[in-house]
Amino acid sequence: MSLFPTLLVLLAAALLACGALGAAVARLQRQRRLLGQRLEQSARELDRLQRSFARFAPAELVERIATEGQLASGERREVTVLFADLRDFTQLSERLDPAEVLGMLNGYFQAMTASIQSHHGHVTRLMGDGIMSVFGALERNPWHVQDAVEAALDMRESLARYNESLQRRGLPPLAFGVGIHCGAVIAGLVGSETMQEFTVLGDVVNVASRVEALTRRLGGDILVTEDVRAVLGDRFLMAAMPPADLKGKSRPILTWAVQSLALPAMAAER
Amino acid sequence: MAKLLHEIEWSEPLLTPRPDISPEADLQGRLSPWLRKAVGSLSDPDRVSHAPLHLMGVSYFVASQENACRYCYGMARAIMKIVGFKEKQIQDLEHEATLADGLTRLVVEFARKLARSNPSPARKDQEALVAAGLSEEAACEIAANVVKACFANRISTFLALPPNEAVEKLPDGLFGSIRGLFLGRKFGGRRVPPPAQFRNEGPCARIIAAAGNNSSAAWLRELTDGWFSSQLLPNRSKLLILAVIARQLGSQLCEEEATDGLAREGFGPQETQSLLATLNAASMTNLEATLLRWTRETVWYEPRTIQNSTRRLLAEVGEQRALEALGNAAVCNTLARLALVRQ
Repeated sequence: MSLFPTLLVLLAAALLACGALGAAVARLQRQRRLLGQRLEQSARELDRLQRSFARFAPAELVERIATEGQLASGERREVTVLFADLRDFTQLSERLDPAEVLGMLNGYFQAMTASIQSHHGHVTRLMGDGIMSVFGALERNPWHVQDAVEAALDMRESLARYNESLQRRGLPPLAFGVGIHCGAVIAGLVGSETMQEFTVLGDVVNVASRVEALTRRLGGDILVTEDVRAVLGDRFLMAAMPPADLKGKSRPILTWAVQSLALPAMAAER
Repeated sequence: MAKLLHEIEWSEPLLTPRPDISPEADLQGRLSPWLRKAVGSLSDPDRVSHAPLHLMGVSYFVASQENACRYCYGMARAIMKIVGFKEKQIQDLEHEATLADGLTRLVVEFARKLARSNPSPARKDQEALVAAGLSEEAACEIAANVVKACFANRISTFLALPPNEAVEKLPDGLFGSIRGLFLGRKFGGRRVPPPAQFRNEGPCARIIAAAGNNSSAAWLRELTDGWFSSQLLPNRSKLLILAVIARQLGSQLCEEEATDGLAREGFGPQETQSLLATLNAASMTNLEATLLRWTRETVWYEPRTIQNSTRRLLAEVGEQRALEALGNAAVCNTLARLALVRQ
């Protein structure tokens, strides 16, 4: 008889323990589900970032950053760098209404970017009225040198069309200089913890920029270096320019003014 | 990084649709015999000899997503559901994020890498599948399946085939899972013995050897023979297209095959190398110059951009040659990618 209350207490204690255990399991399951959801959300967010990032950085680099988490990874690549700069735009912008200046500049960037992209190039930076673009950095491109020169010729035609539209709106025409050089660069991400950009670094970039500046001194709107000409063969009509001193170079360098495509007489169709 | 179905920008169909006939049936009537046969056979259920059936489906699905083919990706997604994949599993494959099964994850990575080919896949990527437990023949069959998807994706993308809503809607709604019970067998792969009569002899045999001995390899052999025997484009032009795609992808074995073939067509190795360096040669015809310019676009592309380029090609060379050219580009991309797993 005296056993009954003890059993009752034990049963109650067991029920309480089961209840507490059940509550703990339910809480753990809830936490696990929440953690799972958060993990999945983070994974999807990372995936979304990777996909949008891949539009302006090489897939290989994005993949390496994603798998190894090394933001500092970079690599050496053979590329062609094209610099374009508007002539006397600063003086022009002082005479015009700010909205007109921005409108003109944005229309110019739009037209030039289209020409560059249609020849497999990527605009990596806009600096004031200047454009830096790279060919062969984002994906394998055995023809990056000629693509850059064809892009420059396309940019020339595109600028002529844009100037016609400016003229119709009573605005002054624009003129540019383009410098092109090729060689090995280091491609990778640069910047601080809060701001990163994909870019290429090296002497090739400096030379391309300085060759663009030479267009003002030597005349000719599109200048390429001897290294570029050597790769192109007789694909383009070019005129040799007099040797010129370049900052950072011990000897004068040879450049060539690009006139047009030298269209070969095509063979008859079979 | 691959886009999701709703993110893909897709143009209007390349060929003006006829109101009384489905786009697929209409297309069949316009293609040359070899291409008609190849495209027609794409809708047959997979005949699988070595690889696990579900991995064949998974590899085809992720390759179609990686190639951003709205038509094939939408169809493959629906078929995955019909054959029993849950929506959550499909989303995991699309995001490549939380896959549990290590082998499936490896196959997904391999299929994506081979379809994208930027950076290039290599022999070691296929060997990783074998190290994870697949047989060598199964790994070859998966590679063949992925490049088969690359062919289908390119044809559908160049033509901007409208999404097949009838198939895409099959697994949805109240009766979706019931339909799945009946249609799973129709759409799912079929286990078959390796083709006994298969002989890998003819153009690009060294490349097709990478596909192993299975129905997909036999399909590739038949595709390549049909491509090469078609006379709508000169053999030389076809080999130039192959060489340019191989050079762009860095596919050495494929470039060797193209260079050897060009030598047989009277195009010396020096002339080939000079042409491949500049994409320019005095002996090239206007048609070849136009085709090679377009061909370069077919290796990596955004669907809408390549669809616009293909529209310009159609206006320039006419329907018959344009359709033949896009078949050529699809075959050459297939072969050049398959050759990458041999290097």
